[in-house]
Amino acid sequence: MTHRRVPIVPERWFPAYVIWELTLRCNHACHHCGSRAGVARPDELDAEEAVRVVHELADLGAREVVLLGGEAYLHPGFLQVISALRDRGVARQLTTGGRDVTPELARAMAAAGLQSASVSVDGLEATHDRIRNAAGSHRAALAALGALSDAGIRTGSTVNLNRANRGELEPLYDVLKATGIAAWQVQLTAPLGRAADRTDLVLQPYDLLDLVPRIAALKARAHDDGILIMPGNNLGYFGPEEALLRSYERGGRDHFAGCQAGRLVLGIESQGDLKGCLSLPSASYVGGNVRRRPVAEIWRDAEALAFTRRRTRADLWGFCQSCDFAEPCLAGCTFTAHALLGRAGNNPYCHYRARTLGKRGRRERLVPITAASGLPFDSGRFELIEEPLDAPEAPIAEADALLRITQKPRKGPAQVASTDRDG
Amino acid sequence: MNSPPGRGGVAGVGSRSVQQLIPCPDCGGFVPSNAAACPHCDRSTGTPGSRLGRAASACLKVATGGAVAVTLMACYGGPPHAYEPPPRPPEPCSTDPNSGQPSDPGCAPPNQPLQPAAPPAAGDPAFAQPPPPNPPGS
Repeated sequence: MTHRRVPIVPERWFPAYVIWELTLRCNHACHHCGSRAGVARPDELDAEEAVRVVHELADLGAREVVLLGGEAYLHPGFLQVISALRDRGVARQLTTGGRDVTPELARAMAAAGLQSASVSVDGLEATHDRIRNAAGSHRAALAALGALSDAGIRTGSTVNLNRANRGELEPLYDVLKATGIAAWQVQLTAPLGRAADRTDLVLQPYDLLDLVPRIAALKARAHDDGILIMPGNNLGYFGPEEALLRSYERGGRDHFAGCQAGRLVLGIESQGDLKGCLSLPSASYVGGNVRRRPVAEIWRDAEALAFTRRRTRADLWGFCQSCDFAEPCLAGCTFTAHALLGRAGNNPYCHYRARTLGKRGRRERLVPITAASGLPFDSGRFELIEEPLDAPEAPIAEADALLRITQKPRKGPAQVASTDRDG
Repeated sequence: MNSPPGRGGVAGVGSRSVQQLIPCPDCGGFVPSNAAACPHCDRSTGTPGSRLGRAASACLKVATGGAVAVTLMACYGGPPHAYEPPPRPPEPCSTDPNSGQPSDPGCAPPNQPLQPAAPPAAGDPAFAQPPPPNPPGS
C-alpha cells in the first residue's frame, strides 16, 4: 500500500501532486477563502481544454490530482476530468465545502472514478456556519460526508484553524469521527484572500504553543480510532511532536522536508495559470498559462515555479536563517511566509520558533501594516513585533467579531483574467 | 513506507548539504546530529560530531540506502490515502477439459487478444522507482 509519498531524487522534479482549481465559481462565500471564490473567472478552461491538461499532466508522471474550486463540481467538465484522470491512471480526489453534494451527485462522482473526497468542516455548527458565511453549511457538509461515503468514495475532512475555531478542535474531532472519516487534515488559516482582510481571525505565532501539542495529542488518540490526522504544509515545524505529526504510522520518524512547490507539487488556477502551489500569491508566483505554452515547458523553464529547487539556507532570513532546523525545513510553507511578511524565507508560524522564543520569555506578534489588493490569492503584509511572553492579551473575541473586516482590500472583488506572464 | 522508528528521514536535497537528524532518547524530538544538546529538552548529546551523531548517520545510510522520500501535502489538498492498485488485464483462459468452456467466466477467451495493461496507477510499484527525469535544463 502506497500513500502520498514520493521519493526525492535531486534535480529530477516532476509534478507528482497537482492541486487544481477547476473553477472559481462557488456556492459558499467563506470569510477565510484564500481565492475569494464565488463567481467563475471570465476565461476558465473549458472541458476540452481541461482534459487536454489532464493528458499533459499524466505525460509528466503526475500521481494524484486534487480538484477544488470554488466548487469543482460546478465546472461543466468536472466529471469528464475525473474520468480522464482515471483513464490515465492518475489518482483523483475532491476537496469540497459539501454544499449541494446530493446522493445523486456523489454517485455520479463515484461512477466517473472519484476515489476520495475531503469535506471542509471549520468548527462546530455555529462557528462553521459563521466562518463559511452560510446558515446550514455545517449540516450540508456532514450530509455530504454521508452521501460520498454511501457512494463508495473514501471520505476525509479538512479544517482551517484560526482564532474563531481554535477552541473547538477536540469536539470537532468527535463530530467528524462519528461520520466515519478515514483521515483529517489540519492546517492553519493563512492571511490570503478574504482572510487577509480579517486580520483578527488569523492566529498569532504564539498560539501554536497551545495548538500544536493539542493536535499531536489528538493524533495519538486518532491512531487508536483508525483515523489518520495529518498536518497541512503550513502547520509545523520541528517541535518535539514533529515525528508524530508528520508520520502516517505510530512510531514513524517522518518530518517536514521543505516546501515542495515547483519540485513535486503543481498548482493550476481555473484560467490555466500555473504556480508551484495553488495557494502561492498569484502576483508573484505564476509561471505561465497552459493555453499559451505546454505544461511541461512551463514546469521546466519558468523561474516562478523553480524557486524551491535551488533554495538553501542562504535564502532564509530572520529567525529561520539561524534556526537549528534551517536545512531540512527551509522556512516551512512558502505561501504562508509570503502572505505574512511579503516574501519567503522567514516563517513565524512555527512551533519550534515559538518554543525557542518562549524559553527566553519572548514571543512574536503579527501586526497588520498593508491591506491586500482584493484579488484571488492576494495578501497584505504584517510587521513582526517581539514582546514579553506574558504581554497583555485582549480578551478572546466572539467569532462574529473576529470575522469583521479589519483591513479593507485596496480594490473591490475582481475577476481576474489569466496573466500575461509566460515564464 | 515510513522511515524506520528511531531514525529520521533526510531532507537535504539537490545541491544542499545534508543535515542528519537523530531522535532524542528522552523527548523523542529531532536533534541535529551536530548539536551538543537536544533543542527541545536540553538533554546532552555530547560534543558536536559526537559518536551519537556519527552512529545515527551510519544507521540512516544502512536503513535507507540513501533514499529520501517526502509526504506530499498541501493546504487545499485532502488527506493522504492509499492509492488503488493498477487495473490488471484478464488472465488467459484455461479450458475445462469436460465442457470445453472457459473455466473462469471473467477470463479472456483464447481467440481474443489480451487487452494491453492500463498505465500504472499511482501506488503501483512502478512509482516506487525514481520519477522520470525532467527534460534537460530543468
